[in-house]
Amino acid sequence: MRTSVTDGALLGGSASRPSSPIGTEAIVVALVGSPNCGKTTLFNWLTGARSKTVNYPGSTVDYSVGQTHPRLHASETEESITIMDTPGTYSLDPKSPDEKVTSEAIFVHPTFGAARLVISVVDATHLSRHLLVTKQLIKAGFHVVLAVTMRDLLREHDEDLDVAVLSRELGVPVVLIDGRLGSGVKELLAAARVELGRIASGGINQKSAVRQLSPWSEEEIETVLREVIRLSDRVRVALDKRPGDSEELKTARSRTRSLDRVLLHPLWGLTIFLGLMATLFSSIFWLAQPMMDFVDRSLSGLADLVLAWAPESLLAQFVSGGVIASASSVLVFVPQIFILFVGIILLEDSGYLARSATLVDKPLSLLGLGGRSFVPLLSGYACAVPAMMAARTINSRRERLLTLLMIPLMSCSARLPVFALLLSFLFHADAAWKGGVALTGIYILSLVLGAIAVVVVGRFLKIDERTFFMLELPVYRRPRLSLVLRQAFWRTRSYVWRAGPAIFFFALIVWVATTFPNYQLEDKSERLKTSYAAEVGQMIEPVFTPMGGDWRTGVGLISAFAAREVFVSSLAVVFQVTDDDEESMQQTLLSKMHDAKAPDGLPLFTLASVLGLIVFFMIALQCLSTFIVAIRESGNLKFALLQLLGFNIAGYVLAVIVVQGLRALGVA
Amino acid sequence: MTLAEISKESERVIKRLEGDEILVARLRELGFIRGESVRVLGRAPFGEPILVEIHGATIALRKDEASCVHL
Ligand SMILES: Nc1nc2c(ncn2[C@@H]2O[C@H](COP(=O)(O)OP(=O)(O)OP(=O)(O)O)[C@@H](O)[C@H]2O)c(=O)[nH]1
Ligand SMILES: [Mg+2]
Repeated sequence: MRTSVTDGALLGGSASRPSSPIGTEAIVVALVGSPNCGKTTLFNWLTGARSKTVNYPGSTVDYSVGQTHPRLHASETEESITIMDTPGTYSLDPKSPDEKVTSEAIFVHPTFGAARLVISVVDATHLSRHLLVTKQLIKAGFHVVLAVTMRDLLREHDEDLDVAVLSRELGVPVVLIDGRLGSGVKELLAAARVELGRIASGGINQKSAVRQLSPWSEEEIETVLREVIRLSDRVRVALDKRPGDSEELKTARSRTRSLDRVLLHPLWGLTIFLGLMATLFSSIFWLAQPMMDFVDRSLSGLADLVLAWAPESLLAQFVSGGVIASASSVLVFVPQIFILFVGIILLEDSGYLARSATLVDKPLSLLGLGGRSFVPLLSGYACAVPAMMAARTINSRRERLLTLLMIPLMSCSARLPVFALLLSFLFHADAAWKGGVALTGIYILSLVLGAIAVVVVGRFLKIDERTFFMLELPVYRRPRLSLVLRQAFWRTRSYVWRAGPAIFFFALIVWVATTFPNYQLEDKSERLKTSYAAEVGQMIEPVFTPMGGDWRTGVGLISAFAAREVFVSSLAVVFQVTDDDEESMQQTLLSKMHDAKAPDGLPLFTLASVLGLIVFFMIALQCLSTFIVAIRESGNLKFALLQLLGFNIAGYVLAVIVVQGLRALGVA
Repeated sequence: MTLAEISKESERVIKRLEGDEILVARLRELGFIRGESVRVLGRAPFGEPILVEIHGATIALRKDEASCVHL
């Protein structure tokens, strides 16, 4: 149903070209409006897409295109309409890259040209300010249908809108929408069809009618704003009786005021913020344990079954020891990733993100970043790719580059399996909370490293540009558990789908390389020692010895450049975790790691060498997609290349320093 | 007097906007125009950003942004 287009400014042809009723030109209906007014929610209702909606102004940073869902069509033969979701914008005079995406997508899109029709989306509770964009759209010559969202919030205030007056005064059709239940969506689509029909038959020459506005002058904006403020007062109608002065009306707005008094309080605000972040990261470890055991046991059982079915067959050995062992070594950490996503989604839906950004604005601006860097950095803990795109909401180029610089240092979810395995190794026998604390430590340390990188590079970045914060704080909304869990499920699923192919591919390579040529040997360690992998491994080993590894770690580290999780799955294959009778593959992997010996006969995985690996994974930029997105978002190949090389070299050097330093201090 | 200087909870009327062009333009688009009333709801830890209410919305402004708004 949906084609997401990566970048409005750079690409374009990938949007699906619908059959158009008149002429050969593709037509599109664009959703445009202020940030956080409910465009994406509406887009999802219209198209059946599952685009991310967040209670934060600036959650959508790229446009995406989809077809109206057949469920909304009056008959089977009715044609679908192409709908476009755009990033929120306060005006058609863009001030940051995300706003620029919107203005380019609706004025000069490579496939669609100017949007045939614009659905101007406004939040009913912020009518007076949001109608400014509507006015600008009309002025620019677009055909407009007005969609007023958040109808349910209006009801909380015992209010409604006089749609007839609003429509008459603006000269456009108006439809009220409840974005939670989807009421009004059908009516909106019908209104859009009527308008499209009128444009098609009326022969209004759309192309010459739409023109980009020159930025409005002070007087123009003031006049229009005053007009819409008056208008929004006029169309507001009180339902039943207005509550008496003494009655304290419990509205989203008043709840928000009282919550903010605590959550932005100089003392409590900071305490709660730090507490929430610590809870988020430490809960990943201890909350997930039961689920992880379950996954591990099920998959080990499966591997045993396959092996028992045909113990002598190479195929069965490959399926159990290659595919299932490597998949399960990563799948076992999926519950942790799920919990991380649940935590992030809870923050997103509640409206707390905007408060966090406000709380950290001052401290971050000392580094040369700002509060608007917070959301990109936090999403960096899930994945650097969308995180880098989220930096588009930052208007100043300097601040945006520094944010892009820091994002890959945030521990993304692909590193989670790696850290989790290494920490489980270190805290093997200890309580789960210790691993949780250590993981929180890693997250904090990655912030410190990022801050250092930003300060150092900031000195060389000679761009002086006006930056602004000016963040609108949305009302708090109560996250709905079923929606949160469903969203977390989808994101986890796409995480697994993304990592899956790399894991499978490397399982194949590593298994073949460690099994052949002497696959008929009974003695498995002899088989490994004489394998192709060992042969090639000896050549690259000198690189990995300084950081406390041998060729087996080397194979893992190199394959991790396909996807970081593959480090874990490669180890599982190299250490042949299925040839044991133990119930759990993870336990087997951990105990094999304990027993592994380096060429000099000493243990391979020690406190020093594992810390070295952690340091390497914290810093090294092993992700090709991140590199590609960095090129696009920075608009600067040199920046992205320096970042790639710099982080990988720094990761290696620091890992060596840590290992050798610890050894010099007598810590093995 | 500017929005950056006034104390909490008092409602004031905007006289004019003055300062960096891009800041002023964005403030205007956010609804800060002559004759409208604003109120300071509080300040974040470290004294910045300032939480300002305008037309029923809460907007967090840094000090240099708030000081463009003359009352
Ligand atoms: N109560 C209520 N909440 C809504 C409604 N529509 C959207 N929301 C919520 O408002 C928030 C913002 O919705 P989005 O659809 O992400 O807004 P957007 O306009 O796409 O925002 P940007 O992409 O940041 O410009 C989300 O938390 C939604 O769940 C509605 O009609 N009623
Ligand atoms: Mg959106």
